[in-house]
Amino acid sequence: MQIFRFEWKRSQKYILIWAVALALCIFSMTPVYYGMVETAGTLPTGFAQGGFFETVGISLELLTKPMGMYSFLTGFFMIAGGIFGMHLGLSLHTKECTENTAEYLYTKPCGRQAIYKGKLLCTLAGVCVTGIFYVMASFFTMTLFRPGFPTGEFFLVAGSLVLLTLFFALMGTMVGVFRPNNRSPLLTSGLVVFVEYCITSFSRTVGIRAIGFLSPFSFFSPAEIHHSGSYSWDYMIWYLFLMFVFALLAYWKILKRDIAMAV
Amino acid sequence: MSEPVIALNKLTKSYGKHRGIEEISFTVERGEIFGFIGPNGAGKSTTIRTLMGLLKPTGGTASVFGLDCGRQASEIAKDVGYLPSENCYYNSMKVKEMLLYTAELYGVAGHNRMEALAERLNLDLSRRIGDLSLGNKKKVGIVSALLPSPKLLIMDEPTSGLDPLIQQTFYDLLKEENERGTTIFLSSHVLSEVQRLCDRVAILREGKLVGVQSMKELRGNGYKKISLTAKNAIPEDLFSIPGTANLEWDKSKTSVSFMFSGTVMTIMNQLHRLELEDILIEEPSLEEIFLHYYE
Repeated sequence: MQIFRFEWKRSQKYILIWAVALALCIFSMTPVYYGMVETAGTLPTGFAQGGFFETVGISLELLTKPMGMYSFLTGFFMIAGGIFGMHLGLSLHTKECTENTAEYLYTKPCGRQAIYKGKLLCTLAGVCVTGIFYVMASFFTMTLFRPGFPTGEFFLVAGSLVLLTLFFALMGTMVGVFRPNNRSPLLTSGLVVFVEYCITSFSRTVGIRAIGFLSPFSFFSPAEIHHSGSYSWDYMIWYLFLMFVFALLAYWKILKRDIAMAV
Repeated sequence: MSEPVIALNKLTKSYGKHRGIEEISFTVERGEIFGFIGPNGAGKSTTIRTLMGLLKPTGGTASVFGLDCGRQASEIAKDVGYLPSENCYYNSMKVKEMLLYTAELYGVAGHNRMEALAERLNLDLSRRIGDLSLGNKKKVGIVSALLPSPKLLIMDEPTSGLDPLIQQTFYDLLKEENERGTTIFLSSHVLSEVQRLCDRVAILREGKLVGVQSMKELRGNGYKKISLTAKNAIPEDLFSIPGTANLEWDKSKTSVSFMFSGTVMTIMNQLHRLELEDILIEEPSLEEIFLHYYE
Protein backbone atom coordinates (compact mmCIF):
# COMPACT_ATOMS: atom_id res chain seq x y z
CA MET A 1 0.00 0.00 0.00
CA GLN A 2 2.99 2.34 0.47
CA ILE A 3 3.62 2.36 -3.25
CA PHE A 4 -0.05 3.01 -3.99
CA ARG A 5 -0.22 5.85 -1.48
CA PHE A 6 2.94 7.40 -2.87
CA GLU A 7 1.87 7.06 -6.50
CA TRP A 8 -1.57 8.40 -5.67
CA LYS A 9 -0.07 11.42 -3.97
CA ARG A 10 2.13 12.02 -6.99
CA SER A 11 -0.71 11.66 -9.51
CA GLN A 12 -3.79 12.93 -7.70
CA LYS A 13 -3.56 16.48 -9.01
CA TYR A 14 -3.25 15.24 -12.58
CA ILE A 15 -6.15 12.81 -12.12
CA LEU A 16 -8.38 15.43 -10.54
CA ILE A 17 -7.67 17.93 -13.31
CA TRP A 18 -8.73 15.38 -15.93
CA ALA A 19 -11.78 14.33 -13.90
CA VAL A 20 -12.97 17.89 -13.39
CA ALA A 21 -12.23 18.83 -17.00
CA LEU A 22 -14.25 15.91 -18.38
CA ALA A 23 -17.11 16.63 -15.98
CA LEU A 24 -17.16 20.33 -16.88
CA CYS A 25 -17.00 19.56 -20.59
CA ILE A 26 -19.98 17.22 -20.55
CA PHE A 27 -21.92 19.60 -18.33
CA SER A 28 -21.26 22.66 -20.47
CA MET A 29 -21.46 21.05 -23.91
CA THR A 30 -24.54 18.87 -23.51
CA PRO A 31 -27.12 21.71 -23.46
CA VAL A 32 -25.38 23.41 -26.39
CA TYR A 33 -25.46 20.28 -28.52
CA TYR A 34 -29.01 19.41 -27.49
CA GLY A 35 -30.01 22.53 -29.35
CA MET A 36 -29.05 20.58 -32.48
CA VAL A 37 -31.54 17.82 -31.69
CA GLU A 38 -34.35 20.29 -32.04
CA THR A 39 -33.08 21.16 -35.49
CA ALA A 40 -31.94 17.69 -36.54
CA GLY A 41 -34.21 17.88 -39.52
CA THR A 42 -32.45 21.01 -40.65
CA LEU A 43 -28.95 19.48 -40.55
CA PRO A 44 -27.24 19.76 -43.90
CA THR A 45 -28.26 16.76 -46.01
CA GLY A 46 -24.70 15.66 -46.68
CA PHE A 47 -23.86 15.88 -43.00
CA ALA A 48 -26.91 13.91 -41.91
CA GLN A 49 -26.88 11.32 -44.66
CA GLY A 50 -23.21 11.09 -45.41
CA GLY A 51 -22.65 8.47 -42.77
CA PHE A 52 -20.89 10.86 -40.36
CA PHE A 53 -22.97 9.88 -37.35
CA GLU A 54 -22.66 6.18 -38.16
CA THR A 55 -18.85 6.47 -37.97
CA VAL A 56 -19.16 7.58 -34.36
CA GLY A 57 -21.67 4.83 -33.57
CA ILE A 58 -24.83 6.98 -33.64
CA SER A 59 -27.79 6.45 -35.92
CA LEU A 60 -29.90 9.40 -37.03
CA GLU A 61 -32.81 7.75 -35.28
CA LEU A 62 -30.90 7.72 -32.00
CA LEU A 63 -29.84 11.31 -32.50
CA THR A 64 -33.40 12.50 -32.11
CA LYS A 65 -33.90 10.51 -28.88
CA PRO A 66 -33.11 11.90 -25.38
CA MET A 67 -29.90 9.87 -25.23
CA GLY A 68 -28.79 10.74 -28.76
CA MET A 69 -26.74 13.84 -28.37
CA TYR A 70 -25.33 12.69 -25.04
CA SER A 71 -24.14 9.48 -26.73
CA PHE A 72 -22.65 11.52 -29.56
CA LEU A 73 -20.71 13.71 -27.13
CA THR A 74 -19.63 10.76 -25.03
CA GLY A 75 -18.26 9.20 -28.21
CA PHE A 76 -15.86 12.13 -28.48
CA PHE A 77 -15.06 12.33 -24.80
CA MET A 78 -14.09 8.69 -25.04
CA ILE A 79 -11.08 9.84 -27.06
CA ALA A 80 -10.11 12.16 -24.21
CA GLY A 81 -10.79 9.40 -21.66
CA GLY A 82 -8.66 6.99 -23.66
CA ILE A 83 -5.75 9.43 -23.85
CA PHE A 84 -6.02 10.11 -20.12
CA GLY A 85 -6.15 6.41 -19.25
CA MET A 86 -3.29 5.40 -21.47
CA HIS A 87 -1.13 8.33 -20.42
CA LEU A 88 -1.75 7.58 -16.74
CA GLY A 89 -0.92 3.88 -17.07
CA LEU A 90 2.05 4.56 -19.30
CA SER A 91 3.62 7.45 -17.42
CA LEU A 92 3.45 5.77 -14.01
CA HIS A 93 6.03 3.33 -15.36
CA THR A 94 8.01 5.49 -17.77
CA LYS A 95 8.66 8.30 -15.33
CA GLU A 96 10.65 5.99 -13.05
CA CYS A 97 13.04 5.63 -15.96
CA THR A 98 12.93 9.09 -17.48
CA GLU A 99 13.16 10.84 -14.09
CA ASN A 100 15.90 8.40 -13.11
CA THR A 101 14.19 7.15 -9.94
CA ALA A 102 13.93 3.46 -10.90
CA GLU A 103 17.22 2.62 -9.22
CA TYR A 104 15.89 4.02 -5.96
CA LEU A 105 12.49 2.35 -6.03
CA TYR A 106 13.49 -1.06 -7.36
CA THR A 107 16.20 -1.57 -4.74
CA LYS A 108 13.79 -1.26 -1.83
CA PRO A 109 12.35 -4.24 0.06
CA CYS A 110 8.86 -3.84 -1.39
CA GLY A 111 9.80 -5.81 -4.51
CA ARG A 112 8.70 -5.64 -8.12
CA GLN A 113 5.38 -7.37 -7.49
CA ALA A 114 4.32 -4.74 -4.97
CA ILE A 115 5.53 -1.94 -7.23
CA TYR A 116 3.44 -3.29 -10.08
CA LYS A 117 0.40 -3.76 -7.88
CA GLY A 118 0.76 -0.29 -6.34
CA LYS A 119 1.04 1.40 -9.71
CA LEU A 120 -1.78 -0.66 -11.18
CA LEU A 121 -3.99 0.17 -8.22
CA CYS A 122 -3.21 3.85 -8.68
CA THR A 123 -4.11 3.58 -12.37
CA LEU A 124 -7.39 1.85 -11.54
CA ALA A 125 -8.19 4.40 -8.85
CA GLY A 126 -7.46 7.20 -11.31
CA VAL A 127 -9.80 5.66 -13.87
CA CYS A 128 -12.49 5.16 -11.19
CA VAL A 129 -12.27 8.76 -9.96
CA THR A 130 -12.46 10.15 -13.48
CA GLY A 131 -15.29 7.76 -14.29
CA ILE A 132 -17.28 8.71 -11.20
CA PHE A 133 -16.85 12.42 -11.96
CA TYR A 134 -17.95 11.90 -15.56
CA VAL A 135 -20.95 9.70 -14.78
CA MET A 136 -22.14 11.99 -11.97
CA ALA A 137 -21.74 15.13 -14.07
CA SER A 138 -23.54 13.39 -16.94
CA PHE A 139 -26.38 12.26 -14.70
CA PHE A 140 -26.76 15.73 -13.26
CA THR A 141 -26.69 17.30 -16.72
CA MET A 142 -29.23 14.88 -18.17
CA THR A 143 -31.52 15.26 -15.19
CA LEU A 144 -31.32 18.99 -15.62
CA PHE A 145 -31.75 19.22 -19.38
CA ARG A 146 -33.42 15.92 -20.42
CA PRO A 147 -35.46 14.63 -17.48
CA GLY A 148 -37.06 11.27 -18.16
CA PHE A 149 -34.08 9.82 -20.05
CA PRO A 150 -33.74 6.00 -19.90
CA THR A 151 -31.41 5.39 -16.95
CA GLY A 152 -30.38 1.85 -17.97
CA GLU A 153 -29.23 3.03 -21.38
CA PHE A 154 -27.63 6.09 -19.80
CA PHE A 155 -25.44 4.04 -17.48
CA LEU A 156 -24.40 1.77 -20.33
CA VAL A 157 -23.39 4.73 -22.50
CA ALA A 158 -21.71 6.63 -19.65
CA GLY A 159 -20.08 3.40 -18.47
CA SER A 160 -18.61 3.00 -21.96
CA LEU A 161 -16.27 5.89 -21.28
CA VAL A 162 -15.15 4.36 -17.99
CA LEU A 163 -14.60 0.92 -19.52
CA LEU A 164 -12.75 2.34 -22.49
CA THR A 165 -10.55 4.46 -20.21
CA LEU A 166 -9.79 1.33 -18.22
CA PHE A 167 -8.89 -0.54 -21.39
CA PHE A 168 -6.40 2.13 -22.47
CA ALA A 169 -5.06 2.42 -18.92
CA LEU A 170 -4.15 -1.25 -18.95
CA MET A 171 -2.76 -0.97 -22.45
CA GLY A 172 -0.67 2.00 -21.27
CA THR A 173 0.56 -0.02 -18.30
CA MET A 174 1.71 -2.78 -20.60
CA VAL A 175 3.39 -0.39 -23.04
CA GLY A 176 5.05 1.43 -20.12
CA VAL A 177 6.46 -1.79 -18.71
CA PHE A 178 7.75 -2.93 -22.09
CA ARG A 179 9.08 0.50 -23.14
CA PRO A 180 9.98 2.26 -19.87
CA ASN A 181 12.32 4.72 -21.57
CA ASN A 182 9.52 6.34 -23.58
CA ARG A 183 10.05 10.07 -23.17
CA SER A 184 6.82 11.15 -24.87
CA PRO A 185 4.04 9.22 -23.13
CA LEU A 186 1.39 11.82 -23.96
CA LEU A 187 2.24 11.82 -27.65
CA THR A 188 2.29 8.02 -27.68
CA SER A 189 -1.09 7.90 -25.95
CA GLY A 190 -2.61 10.45 -28.29
CA LEU A 191 -1.38 8.63 -31.38
CA VAL A 192 -2.50 5.19 -30.20
CA VAL A 193 -5.97 6.40 -29.21
CA PHE A 194 -6.41 8.35 -32.43
CA VAL A 195 -5.37 5.36 -34.56
CA GLU A 196 -7.75 3.12 -32.62
CA TYR A 197 -10.55 5.63 -33.13
CA CYS A 198 -9.85 5.72 -36.86
CA ILE A 199 -9.93 1.92 -37.02
CA THR A 200 -13.41 1.92 -35.52
CA SER A 201 -14.61 4.66 -37.88
CA PHE A 202 -13.20 2.69 -40.81
CA SER A 203 -14.83 -0.50 -39.57
CA ARG A 204 -18.20 1.24 -39.33
CA THR A 205 -17.79 2.98 -42.69
CA VAL A 206 -16.94 -0.18 -44.64
CA GLY A 207 -19.39 -2.20 -42.55
CA ILE A 208 -16.93 -4.98 -41.70
CA ARG A 209 -17.57 -5.77 -38.06
CA ALA A 210 -14.52 -8.01 -37.69
CA ILE A 211 -12.23 -4.98 -38.09
CA GLY A 212 -13.90 -3.60 -34.98
CA PHE A 213 -12.14 -6.24 -32.88
CA LEU A 214 -8.94 -4.28 -33.44
CA SER A 215 -10.23 -1.22 -31.64
CA PRO A 216 -11.95 -0.84 -28.24
CA PHE A 217 -14.04 2.06 -29.57
CA SER A 218 -16.02 -0.52 -31.54
CA PHE A 219 -16.92 -2.41 -28.38
CA PHE A 220 -19.16 0.41 -27.13
CA SER A 221 -21.49 1.50 -29.91
CA PRO A 222 -24.30 3.74 -28.60
CA ALA A 223 -26.54 2.67 -31.50
CA GLU A 224 -26.13 -0.96 -30.52
CA ILE A 225 -26.72 -0.18 -26.84
CA HIS A 226 -29.88 1.71 -27.82
CA HIS A 227 -31.00 -1.13 -30.06
CA SER A 228 -30.25 -4.15 -27.84
CA GLY A 229 -30.10 -2.57 -24.38
CA SER A 230 -26.69 -4.08 -23.66
CA TYR A 231 -23.10 -4.28 -24.89
CA SER A 232 -22.30 -6.91 -27.55
CA TRP A 233 -21.31 -10.08 -25.73
CA ASP A 234 -18.68 -11.11 -28.30
CA TYR A 235 -16.98 -7.74 -28.05
CA MET A 236 -17.18 -7.92 -24.25
CA ILE A 237 -15.50 -11.31 -24.12
CA TRP A 238 -12.75 -10.01 -26.41
CA TYR A 239 -12.48 -6.84 -24.28
CA LEU A 240 -12.05 -8.83 -21.07
CA PHE A 241 -9.59 -11.18 -22.74
CA LEU A 242 -7.43 -8.30 -24.00
CA MET A 243 -7.45 -6.59 -20.61
CA PHE A 244 -6.38 -9.82 -18.97
CA VAL A 245 -3.59 -10.24 -21.53
CA PHE A 246 -2.36 -6.66 -21.01
CA ALA A 247 -2.27 -7.01 -17.24
CA LEU A 248 -0.65 -10.44 -17.36
CA LEU A 249 1.99 -9.52 -19.92
CA ALA A 250 2.91 -6.38 -17.99
CA TYR A 251 3.19 -8.40 -14.76
CA TRP A 252 5.33 -11.07 -16.39
CA LYS A 253 7.59 -8.50 -18.01
CA ILE A 254 8.10 -6.39 -14.90
CA LEU A 255 9.27 -9.45 -12.98
CA LYS A 256 11.69 -10.49 -15.73
CA ARG A 257 13.12 -7.34 -17.21
CA ASP A 258 16.25 -5.41 -16.42
CA ILE A 259 15.43 -2.12 -14.80
CA ALA A 260 16.28 0.52 -17.37
CA MET A 261 18.26 3.56 -16.29
CA ALA A 262 17.73 6.99 -17.78
CA VAL A 263 19.77 7.55 -20.92
CA MET B 1 33.21 -20.55 8.93
CA SER B 2 30.12 -18.44 8.39
CA GLU B 3 28.48 -18.11 5.02
CA PRO B 4 29.81 -15.22 2.92
CA VAL B 5 27.60 -12.15 2.81
CA ILE B 6 28.14 -11.75 -0.92
CA ALA B 7 29.05 -14.62 -3.23
CA LEU B 8 29.52 -14.21 -6.97
CA ASN B 9 30.12 -17.30 -9.04
CA LYS B 10 31.05 -16.77 -12.68
CA LEU B 11 28.61 -13.89 -12.80
CA THR B 12 28.11 -12.71 -16.37
CA LYS B 13 25.98 -9.93 -17.76
CA SER B 14 26.07 -9.03 -21.42
CA TYR B 15 24.04 -6.47 -23.32
CA GLY B 16 24.02 -7.94 -26.80
CA LYS B 17 26.99 -6.41 -28.60
CA HIS B 18 28.00 -4.31 -25.60
CA ARG B 19 30.37 -5.71 -23.05
CA GLY B 20 29.07 -6.09 -19.54
CA ILE B 21 30.88 -8.33 -17.08
CA GLU B 22 32.34 -11.77 -17.65
CA GLU B 23 32.58 -14.65 -15.21
CA ILE B 24 33.22 -12.65 -12.08
CA SER B 25 33.74 -14.72 -8.95
CA PHE B 26 34.57 -13.59 -5.45
CA THR B 27 33.12 -13.57 -1.96
CA VAL B 28 32.74 -10.92 0.69
CA GLU B 29 32.85 -12.10 4.28
CA ARG B 30 30.78 -10.87 7.17
CA GLY B 31 32.11 -7.70 8.77
CA GLU B 32 34.49 -6.89 5.93
CA ILE B 33 34.96 -3.59 4.17
CA PHE B 34 35.42 -4.73 0.62
CA GLY B 35 36.55 -2.43 -2.16
CA PHE B 36 35.69 -2.86 -5.76
CA ILE B 37 38.03 -0.90 -7.94
CA GLY B 38 38.50 -0.32 -11.63
CA PRO B 39 38.42 2.47 -14.16
CA ASN B 40 35.20 3.94 -15.49
CA GLY B 41 33.38 1.45 -17.69
CA ALA B 42 35.12 -1.57 -16.15
CA GLY B 43 31.80 -3.05 -15.06
CA LYS B 44 31.63 -2.05 -11.40
CA SER B 45 28.14 -0.57 -11.59
CA THR B 46 26.90 -3.48 -13.71
CA THR B 47 28.10 -5.91 -11.05
CA ILE B 48 26.48 -3.87 -8.29
CA ARG B 49 23.20 -3.49 -10.18
CA THR B 50 23.13 -7.23 -10.73
CA LEU B 51 23.74 -7.73 -7.01
CA MET B 52 20.84 -5.40 -6.26
CA GLY B 53 18.52 -7.34 -8.55
CA LEU B 54 18.13 -4.47 -11.03
CA LEU B 55 19.77 -6.48 -13.79
CA LYS B 56 19.18 -10.13 -14.49
CA PRO B 57 22.43 -12.06 -14.99
CA THR B 58 22.98 -13.78 -18.33
CA GLY B 59 25.21 -16.36 -16.69
CA GLY B 60 26.52 -17.50 -13.33
CA THR B 61 25.03 -16.71 -9.97
CA ALA B 62 25.07 -13.91 -7.44
CA SER B 63 23.86 -14.30 -3.89
CA VAL B 64 23.62 -12.07 -0.86
CA PHE B 65 23.06 -13.63 2.58
CA GLY B 66 22.72 -16.93 0.71
CA LEU B 67 19.71 -15.64 -1.26
CA ASP B 68 19.63 -15.45 -5.04
CA CYS B 69 19.96 -11.84 -6.22
CA GLY B 70 17.69 -12.32 -9.21
CA ARG B 71 14.81 -14.15 -7.60
CA GLN B 72 14.93 -12.94 -4.01
CA ALA B 73 15.95 -9.33 -4.48
CA SER B 74 13.20 -7.94 -2.26
CA GLU B 75 14.13 -10.30 0.59
CA ILE B 76 17.76 -9.30 0.26
CA ALA B 77 16.89 -5.60 0.12
CA LYS B 78 15.46 -5.72 3.65
CA ASP B 79 18.99 -5.94 5.03
CA VAL B 80 20.81 -3.88 2.43
CA GLY B 81 21.39 -0.15 2.30
CA TYR B 82 22.19 0.92 -1.24
CA LEU B 83 23.82 4.08 -2.50
CA PRO B 84 23.75 4.29 -6.30
CA SER B 85 26.46 6.08 -8.22
CA GLU B 86 23.99 8.55 -9.69
CA ASN B 87 21.36 10.54 -7.88
CA CYS B 88 18.05 8.82 -8.38
CA TYR B 89 15.67 10.56 -6.02
CA TYR B 90 12.31 12.22 -6.52
CA ASN B 91 13.22 15.81 -7.29
CA SER B 92 9.78 17.15 -6.41
CA MET B 93 9.97 15.84 -2.84
CA LYS B 94 11.52 17.49 0.16
CA VAL B 95 14.50 15.70 1.67
CA LYS B 96 12.57 14.83 4.83
CA GLU B 97 9.59 13.41 2.90
CA MET B 98 11.87 11.35 0.74
CA LEU B 99 13.81 9.93 3.70
CA LEU B 100 10.64 9.14 5.62
CA TYR B 101 9.34 7.38 2.53
CA THR B 102 12.56 5.35 2.48
CA ALA B 103 12.05 4.44 6.14
CA GLU B 104 8.45 3.48 5.37
CA LEU B 105 9.56 1.20 2.53
CA TYR B 106 11.99 -0.51 4.90
CA GLY B 107 9.33 -0.69 7.60
CA VAL B 108 11.43 1.18 10.15
CA ALA B 109 10.80 4.27 12.24
CA GLY B 110 13.74 6.30 11.03
CA HIS B 111 12.92 9.76 12.30
CA ASN B 112 15.59 10.01 15.00
CA ARG B 113 18.27 8.33 12.96
CA MET B 114 17.45 10.52 9.98
CA GLU B 115 17.89 13.67 12.04
CA ALA B 116 21.10 12.44 13.62
CA LEU B 117 22.63 11.48 10.27
CA ALA B 118 21.46 14.70 8.61
CA GLU B 119 23.05 16.71 11.39
CA ARG B 120 26.38 14.93 11.04
CA LEU B 121 26.39 15.37 7.29
CA ASN B 122 25.11 18.92 7.51
CA LEU B 123 22.09 18.15 5.35
CA ASP B 124 19.09 20.48 5.32
CA LEU B 125 15.99 18.26 5.56
CA SER B 126 13.55 21.00 4.62
CA ARG B 127 14.84 21.61 1.10
CA ARG B 128 13.42 20.22 -2.09
CA ILE B 129 15.67 17.56 -3.60
CA GLY B 130 15.54 19.15 -7.04
CA ASP B 131 17.05 22.34 -5.59
CA LEU B 132 20.03 20.59 -3.99
CA SER B 133 23.59 20.60 -5.29
CA LEU B 134 25.21 17.37 -6.46
CA GLY B 135 27.04 16.95 -3.16
CA ASN B 136 23.90 17.48 -1.11
CA LYS B 137 22.00 14.98 -3.24
CA LYS B 138 24.79 12.53 -2.49
CA LYS B 139 24.26 13.19 1.21
CA VAL B 140 20.56 12.34 0.77
CA GLY B 141 21.68 9.04 -0.77
CA ILE B 142 24.06 8.34 2.10
CA VAL B 143 21.40 9.03 4.74
CA SER B 144 18.90 6.96 2.77
CA ALA B 145 21.33 4.02 2.65
CA LEU B 146 22.25 4.22 6.33
CA LEU B 147 18.73 4.95 7.57
CA PRO B 148 17.48 1.36 8.00
CA SER B 149 20.68 0.32 9.87
CA PRO B 150 21.34 -2.42 7.32
CA LYS B 151 23.51 -5.50 7.75
CA LEU B 152 25.13 -4.81 4.40
CA LEU B 153 25.94 -1.49 2.76
CA ILE B 154 26.49 -1.45 -0.98
CA MET B 155 27.85 1.84 -2.21
CA ASP B 156 28.71 2.73 -5.76
CA GLU B 157 31.19 5.63 -5.98
CA PRO B 158 30.05 6.96 -2.60
CA THR B 159 32.17 10.09 -2.30
CA SER B 160 31.83 11.59 -5.76
CA GLY B 161 30.63 15.15 -5.30
CA LEU B 162 31.34 15.33 -1.56
CA ASP B 163 33.65 17.98 -0.20
CA PRO B 164 36.72 16.77 1.78
CA LEU B 165 35.22 17.68 5.16
CA ILE B 166 32.06 15.68 4.53
CA GLN B 167 34.14 12.86 3.04
CA GLN B 168 35.90 12.57 6.39
CA THR B 169 32.56 12.44 8.21
CA PHE B 170 31.41 9.82 5.75
CA TYR B 171 34.49 7.66 6.40
CA ASP B 172 33.87 7.98 10.13
CA LEU B 173 30.27 6.90 9.66
CA LEU B 174 31.35 3.89 7.64
CA LYS B 175 33.87 2.87 10.27
CA GLU B 176 31.23 3.18 12.99
CA GLU B 177 28.80 1.09 10.99
CA ASN B 178 31.49 -1.49 10.37
CA GLU B 179 32.32 -1.63 14.07
CA ARG B 180 28.65 -2.39 14.71
CA GLY B 181 29.03 -5.41 12.43
CA THR B 182 27.86 -4.00 9.11
CA THR B 183 29.54 -5.46 6.05
CA ILE B 184 30.48 -2.79 3.53
CA PHE B 185 30.94 -3.26 -0.19
CA LEU B 186 32.01 -0.14 -2.00
CA SER B 187 33.12 0.57 -5.50
CA SER B 188 35.41 3.40 -6.30
CA HIS B 189 38.01 4.65 -8.68
CA VAL B 190 39.39 6.89 -5.94
CA LEU B 191 42.13 4.58 -4.80
CA SER B 192 43.12 6.56 -1.75
CA GLU B 193 39.58 6.01 -0.47
CA VAL B 194 39.83 2.27 -0.94
CA GLN B 195 43.32 2.24 0.52
CA ARG B 196 42.05 4.05 3.56
CA LEU B 197 38.91 2.02 4.25
CA CYS B 198 39.07 -1.47 2.83
CA ASP B 199 40.24 -4.80 4.12
CA ARG B 200 40.24 -6.43 0.69
CA VAL B 201 39.80 -5.27 -2.87
CA ALA B 202 38.67 -6.78 -6.12
CA ILE B 203 40.15 -5.25 -9.23
CA LEU B 204 38.02 -5.16 -12.32
CA ARG B 205 39.26 -4.48 -15.82
CA GLU B 206 37.21 -4.43 -19.01
CA GLY B 207 34.45 -6.48 -17.44
CA LYS B 208 36.77 -9.13 -16.05
CA LEU B 209 38.10 -9.70 -12.59
CA VAL B 210 41.83 -9.13 -12.49
CA GLY B 211 42.26 -10.27 -8.92
CA VAL B 212 41.07 -10.15 -5.33
CA GLN B 213 43.63 -9.29 -2.71
CA SER B 214 43.74 -8.09 0.83
CA MET B 215 45.14 -4.62 1.23
CA LYS B 216 47.92 -6.17 3.25
CA GLU B 217 48.76 -8.54 0.41
CA LEU B 218 48.48 -5.83 -2.18
CA ARG B 219 50.91 -3.68 -0.29
CA GLY B 220 53.07 -6.57 0.85
CA ASN B 221 53.33 -8.46 -2.42
CA GLY B 222 56.91 -7.32 -2.76
CA TYR B 223 56.29 -4.54 -5.23
CA LYS B 224 58.81 -1.77 -4.88
CA LYS B 225 59.00 1.31 -6.97
CA ILE B 226 62.60 1.90 -7.99
CA SER B 227 63.82 5.10 -9.59
CA LEU B 228 67.50 5.48 -10.39
CA THR B 229 69.96 7.68 -12.23
CA ALA B 230 73.33 6.42 -13.47
CA LYS B 231 76.38 8.36 -14.69
CA ASN B 232 76.36 6.63 -18.06
CA ALA B 233 73.61 5.26 -20.28
CA ILE B 234 71.95 2.20 -18.78
CA PRO B 235 71.91 -0.92 -21.00
CA GLU B 236 68.31 -1.48 -22.11
CA ASP B 237 68.36 -5.19 -21.31
CA LEU B 238 69.71 -4.68 -17.80
CA PHE B 239 66.26 -4.84 -16.23
CA SER B 240 64.78 -7.46 -18.55
CA ILE B 241 64.50 -9.77 -15.60
CA PRO B 242 61.48 -11.51 -14.10
CA GLY B 243 59.47 -9.31 -11.71
CA THR B 244 60.15 -6.03 -13.50
CA ALA B 245 57.28 -4.00 -14.89
CA ASN B 246 56.30 -0.52 -16.06
CA LEU B 247 59.79 0.50 -17.15
CA GLU B 248 59.99 4.20 -17.93
CA TRP B 249 63.20 5.60 -19.43
CA ASP B 250 64.22 9.17 -19.85
CA LYS B 251 65.56 10.37 -23.22
CA SER B 252 69.24 10.12 -22.30
CA LYS B 253 68.75 6.57 -21.02
CA THR B 254 70.58 7.50 -17.82
CA SER B 255 67.42 7.46 -15.68
CA VAL B 256 64.82 4.76 -15.33
CA SER B 257 61.94 3.96 -13.00
CA PHE B 258 60.10 0.67 -12.71
CA MET B 259 58.11 -1.63 -10.45
CA PHE B 260 59.90 -4.68 -9.10
CA SER B 261 58.52 -7.65 -7.20
CA GLY B 262 61.43 -10.17 -7.21
CA THR B 263 64.08 -10.94 -4.61
CA VAL B 264 66.29 -8.16 -3.31
CA MET B 265 69.49 -9.94 -4.37
CA THR B 266 68.34 -10.21 -7.98
CA ILE B 267 67.90 -6.47 -8.31
CA MET B 268 71.01 -5.70 -6.27
CA ASN B 269 73.10 -7.80 -8.65
CA GLN B 270 71.82 -5.74 -11.57
CA LEU B 271 72.28 -2.44 -9.80
CA HIS B 272 75.81 -3.42 -8.86
CA ARG B 273 76.75 -3.24 -12.54
CA LEU B 274 75.90 0.45 -12.70
CA GLU B 275 77.71 3.52 -11.54
CA LEU B 276 74.79 5.01 -9.71
CA GLU B 277 74.30 8.72 -9.08
CA ASP B 278 70.99 8.45 -7.28
CA ILE B 279 68.52 5.76 -6.30
CA LEU B 280 65.10 5.83 -4.68
CA ILE B 281 63.42 2.61 -3.55
CA GLU B 282 59.91 3.19 -2.20
CA GLU B 283 56.64 1.46 -1.56
CA PRO B 284 54.31 2.16 -4.48
CA SER B 285 50.96 3.80 -3.92
CA LEU B 286 47.89 1.68 -4.47
CA GLU B 287 47.28 3.72 -7.58
CA GLU B 288 50.60 2.61 -9.03
CA ILE B 289 49.92 -1.00 -8.08
CA PHE B 290 46.51 -0.69 -9.62
CA LEU B 291 47.88 0.85 -12.80
CA HIS B 292 50.35 -1.98 -12.94
CA TYR B 293 47.43 -4.43 -12.85
CA TYR B 294 45.54 -2.41 -15.37
CA GLU B 295 48.39 -2.25 -17.84
